[in-house]
Amino acid sequence: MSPDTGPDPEPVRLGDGDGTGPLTDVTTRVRSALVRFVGALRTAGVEVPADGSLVAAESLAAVGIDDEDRARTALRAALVSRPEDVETFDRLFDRFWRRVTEAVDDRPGGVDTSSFDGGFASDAAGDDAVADRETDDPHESGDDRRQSSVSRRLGNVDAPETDDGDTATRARFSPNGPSERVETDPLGGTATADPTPAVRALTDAIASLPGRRRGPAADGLPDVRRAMRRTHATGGVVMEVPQRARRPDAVRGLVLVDVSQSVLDTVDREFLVRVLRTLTDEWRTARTFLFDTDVTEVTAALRAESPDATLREFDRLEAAWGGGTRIGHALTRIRDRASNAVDRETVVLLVSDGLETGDLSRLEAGMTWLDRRARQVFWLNPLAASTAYEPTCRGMVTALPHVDGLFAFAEPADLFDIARQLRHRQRPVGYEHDWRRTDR
Amino acid sequence: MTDDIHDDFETLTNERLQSLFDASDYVAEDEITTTVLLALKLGRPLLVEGEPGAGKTELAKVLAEGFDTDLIRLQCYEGLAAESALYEWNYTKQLLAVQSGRDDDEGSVFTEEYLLERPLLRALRHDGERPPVLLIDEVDRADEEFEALLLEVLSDFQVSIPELGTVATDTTPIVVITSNRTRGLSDALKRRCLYLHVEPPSFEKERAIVRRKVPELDDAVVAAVCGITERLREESLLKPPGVAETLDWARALTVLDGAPADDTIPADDGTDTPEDRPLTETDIRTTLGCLLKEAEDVERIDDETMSALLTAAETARQ
Repeated sequence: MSPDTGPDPEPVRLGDGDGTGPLTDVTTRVRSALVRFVGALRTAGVEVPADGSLVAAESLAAVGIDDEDRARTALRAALVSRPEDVETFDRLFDRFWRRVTEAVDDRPGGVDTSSFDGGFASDAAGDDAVADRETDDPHESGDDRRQSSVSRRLGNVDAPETDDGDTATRARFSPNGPSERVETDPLGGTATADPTPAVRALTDAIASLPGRRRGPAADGLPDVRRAMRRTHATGGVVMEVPQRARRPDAVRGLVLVDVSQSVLDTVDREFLVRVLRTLTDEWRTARTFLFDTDVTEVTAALRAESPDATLREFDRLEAAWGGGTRIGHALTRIRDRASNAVDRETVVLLVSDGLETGDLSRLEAGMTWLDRRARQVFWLNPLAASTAYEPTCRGMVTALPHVDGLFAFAEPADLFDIARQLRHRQRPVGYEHDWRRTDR
Repeated sequence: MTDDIHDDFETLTNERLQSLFDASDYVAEDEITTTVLLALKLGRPLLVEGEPGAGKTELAKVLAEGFDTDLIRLQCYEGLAAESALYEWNYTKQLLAVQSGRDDDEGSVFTEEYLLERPLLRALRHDGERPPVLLIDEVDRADEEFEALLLEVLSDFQVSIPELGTVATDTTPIVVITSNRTRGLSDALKRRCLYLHVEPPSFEKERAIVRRKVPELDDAVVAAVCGITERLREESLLKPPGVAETLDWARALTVLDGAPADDTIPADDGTDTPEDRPLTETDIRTTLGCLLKEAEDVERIDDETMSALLTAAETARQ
């Protein structure tokens, strides 16, 4: 009767007829998904009790995972203690349940994970899940084992997934420290909206922002120097006062993308890759760096002929996905090794949830450097797509004073909205004025 | 026997629990059934929150009835202290014992004989065959100090009595804690409980409840009653009617059914039985006190609102 308070809850029952293969893998993955779910709830501001994960695991073990509604009710009873949190819970539960379903569907012989943002091994338990998956499942055929062990590729639409023998996958993540191999799915399988029009709108909006260079203008400030020069021709009499203003410019940019697991949980990877590719195409120059616990420049990879080719390039570059967030470290590395990536013409887009796990003073120093050096710094935060979001985490609080705008980033509509906000220069900009909150 | 009932909980299913609720005429959705089942299986207290009259207290009563066990109720109020909730010494008896010299025989007046059990201790020392249902009602009315007292009880299901020692339970009681959310509860208390928020019932659920609880009322009238209360809840009232108020009203209408309040309403074609005739404005006005418990709310029901209520009733009947 007394609840089991040990670290490992009872294996989740999978219902009748499921006992044909070892359930360790599935159980571990479900448990991993649950831990991540609880973490996501906390991040979203839900008041989860300190031992919420344990009680949730016990609850799930008690009701099983055969019935979504029952599992939802059980977890709600264990994890939610305020009515106002129910909506957030329900929203995040859907994602959790998708992972659970995938874990169940992805049992022996099956590598058919269908979600682009799949992958359960974001935390310690998840790492175990991958290890289990690679070593413990005697029901996997040789090919399947190889397929699993080569880790899930970020995408390969053209080549068949099961028999290409591609062992070069380097998609990796871990919350901190060494990266771990993970599985991902092909890009082409999901119906992500084409972000190209949205990126173009954003590009136009950024390009229309006044740059640092000044030029003749009808409604600018008096150009005293030019006026003085002209007085030479009129004997010292000022006939007219020319004006000058900052000129719109082609967009030169630096894109820093946090590919830590917490971001990948909220942003569709396909959407992310397509946006990055389009930015690289549309901007005059754009250098892109991926970072989690390490930094990798992927500018060249984004110019590849197709998204899948880009992923293959990522693969070749051993770009790591899904680690922890060390923004300060990344900025320091860029400042030390690629300081020419930022100059006073550069617009910086920083895609991150701001959940910094590194040294905050380093983040502060890095943001100060960016702010001082770049033309504009825009922070795109996937978590701001939630209307309940407030930038109260330590990383965001540190970075916010150095940012020209904090926006949501989850779908093309967000990019359109950033463009809309930037076009209205007199109005305040930011996530709090976006379409989700103002219904514009 | 303890193990028996706990074994019962282990093997208890949603369907079994649902049938138990059905037998007690308690209309419970899957969400309620699953959460209660979970609380029983995990042996955790169940914290039930919701609007007044949503059936929170009834849930505990139904569980006690369904499991054929005792219901031990602790009604919370501001200033509730340990001696009213846990135990106190029978001072009068102690005094008499001391005066009569009996204490010399016994050695102490702090023994079981002089102990007055209050609900929490009674639940822990319950010696029935089945664990009792401990209902801690409206815990939000009690002070935060009382919550701290509850923590010890709910964590280990034991209580320390300095003069006697620690009293632990053999049969973990089924604990149901209700709150009307007049204030937030401490995290420590919430952490020890499973949480259930009872939503205001939908039209269909409320209709089913009224049908069960007031079976003598005609179906069409039940629909009209539920239609009107549903419409009333859309108004900005100080105290919107809960299910309890709906049931009160339904029963009031049943009582008045034999003597229609509005004698001026003719039977259109002479075929309407009293059950068939629609609710009239007079019916509603004369029984509004069952639904609305605030004078301002009653005043708020002007002709326009009344007309909307009648329309809602008619729509529901159809």
